[in-house]
Amino acid sequence: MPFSYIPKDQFKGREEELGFLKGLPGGSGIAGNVLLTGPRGIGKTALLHQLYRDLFKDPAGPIPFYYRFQSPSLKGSTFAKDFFARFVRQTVACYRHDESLAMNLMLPLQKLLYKATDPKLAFLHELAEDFEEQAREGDIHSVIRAALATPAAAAARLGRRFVVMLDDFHLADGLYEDQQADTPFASSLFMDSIDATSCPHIIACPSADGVSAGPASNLVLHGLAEDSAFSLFKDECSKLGVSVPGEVVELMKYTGGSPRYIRNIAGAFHRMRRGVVTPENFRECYAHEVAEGDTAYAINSAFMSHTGGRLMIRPALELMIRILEMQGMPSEPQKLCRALAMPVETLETVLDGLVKAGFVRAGAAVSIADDTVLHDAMRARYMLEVEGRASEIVREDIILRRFGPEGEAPVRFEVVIPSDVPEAELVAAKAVRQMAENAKMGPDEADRLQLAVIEACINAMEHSGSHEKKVFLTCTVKDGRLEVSVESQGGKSFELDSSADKPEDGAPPRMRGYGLKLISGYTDGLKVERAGSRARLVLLKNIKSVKEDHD
Amino acid sequence: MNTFNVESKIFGSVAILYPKGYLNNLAAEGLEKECDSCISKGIKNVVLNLNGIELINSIGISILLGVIEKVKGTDGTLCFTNLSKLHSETFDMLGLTKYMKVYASEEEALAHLQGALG
Repeated sequence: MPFSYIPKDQFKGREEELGFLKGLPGGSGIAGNVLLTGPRGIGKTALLHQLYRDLFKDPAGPIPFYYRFQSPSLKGSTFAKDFFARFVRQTVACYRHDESLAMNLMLPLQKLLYKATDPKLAFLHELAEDFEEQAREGDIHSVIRAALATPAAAAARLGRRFVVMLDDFHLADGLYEDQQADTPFASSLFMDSIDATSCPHIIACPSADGVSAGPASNLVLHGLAEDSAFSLFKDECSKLGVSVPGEVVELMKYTGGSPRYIRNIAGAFHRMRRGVVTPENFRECYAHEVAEGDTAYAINSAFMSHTGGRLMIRPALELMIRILEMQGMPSEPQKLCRALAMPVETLETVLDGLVKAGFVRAGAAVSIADDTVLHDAMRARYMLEVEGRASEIVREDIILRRFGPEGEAPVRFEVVIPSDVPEAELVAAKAVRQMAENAKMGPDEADRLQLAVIEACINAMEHSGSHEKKVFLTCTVKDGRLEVSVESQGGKSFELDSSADKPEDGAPPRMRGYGLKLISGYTDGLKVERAGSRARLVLLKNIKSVKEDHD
Repeated sequence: MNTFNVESKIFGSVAILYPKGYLNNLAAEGLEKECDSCISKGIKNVVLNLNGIELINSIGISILLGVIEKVKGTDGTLCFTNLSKLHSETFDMLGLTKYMKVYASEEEALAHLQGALG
């Protein structure tokens, strides 16, 4: 509800935008419609709430009406009734200067109308009767139009303008009549009401892409300026008993100036019991936030709700990561499908949802939104959900990528080999050897690593016991070290305890069990990770130069 | 994919085998058959010239050990020659060189075998 606004002294850095929306310095109210866009968490809703509060308290100005679309799919008749009821509630509340009435969603419409005792509000009863008749007899389009026409009708009867704020408007296309997606382009039903000059509309959504809002000024909310961001961060930390030295102001760049991210990171300091903000603490809290904290939760919730459910999570994550890693992709569906090995229908569903959510921009090329926190959160989700990495590894990766020195981002290759094709392990091993050479590993060390990778692949192929019949190899070069992970589905792989010891003197040779011994002998470290039914063996090899190799 | 083959020649009472490629389980079984063939012809001394072996895996190693034991069981001798640095290191790391007669070249192995045969 619009009254969950931030106290005026804490609403920082948006004075100019608020003034624009109030028609300042012209001072005569709002001229025309406004499309308000910006990444999630940048403060669009907070700005609308502040505007609502200011207008609510101004008895001579326009009457504010705020409506937020809560779900990517909503039955049209339910929406229309809800829209109408909220409009009546907020109008009566504004007229009576009663904030509690505006927030009381439990009060039925009929009882609400009884409170509209002012003769000037008598027209609301007529509007309610007309609407209910439409709801009984009209089709879905008529009912929605009837609800949407209410502000203009009220403006005409009252002689006062209304400002209609439609928040998360990109979800309006999810309205349906009987079943989901049976009413495409539902947002076009709003055009008549948006065009009504007596009711300027402020339409808020993450991105202008795919949104039909008619002619409107475009107000893009960017991140807070560094000083405002730091001021907000200090205030939030102060409320939580966390001390913020002045010299950490430069860390605000990692938040993108997003008020939501700033608040969440401040909250992370409190939860992780860090009493003082230092660069090191900040990195830890940041990594925690984007991997597992409130920021991750908010981004993942939006991601889930826009990508069509649990079954679409993996293709959506793969698409996001691919776009991120390639810094853009050709937008032609055929090329995207080929690049991702994804059916057209799946790709179109996922891409449409990601565009509407503001995560991705579609145009001549498909590119990811310019939000580094989003990038990190998506990577973290991918590593956790698709690669099955441990949380600790994910946080370390985030810290290295985001806060490491320039040019030290890890280089990663991925190979998938079929486990039922003879000698497929050679393909993987030779690829890894080439990567080792590219990373300036000496030839002897690269040869040893190649043998170790062959054994790791054979182990995965022989013992996984899965129906997937694939082995996934990832080779990462970072910090002067090469890390090869070999992963398959099935729980019997990589039992390190079964490695063979050197045969004792005089004893006959052991006939099996040399594979893991060979792996451990030719690497500088080994880890076995298990996540659900997946098992992963991680081989670690320090990159020694040719000279060191020969020493 | 079949990256393995083995050529052979007889030098007196010694068979010299030249396996080439990737010595995995299938290849090692092929090599084992070749050794069995030599033994069945009465040739008990075999030289394995591993110059052509690019890569070997643990299953291949295990089968080779089985061949060593088999040849030993017929009072014969199996010699390995021309091991690469990597393969020599591998056998050493696994503690297997004590079961293998390793020589730098075919000539050395043949000289040893002929000396042993008197």
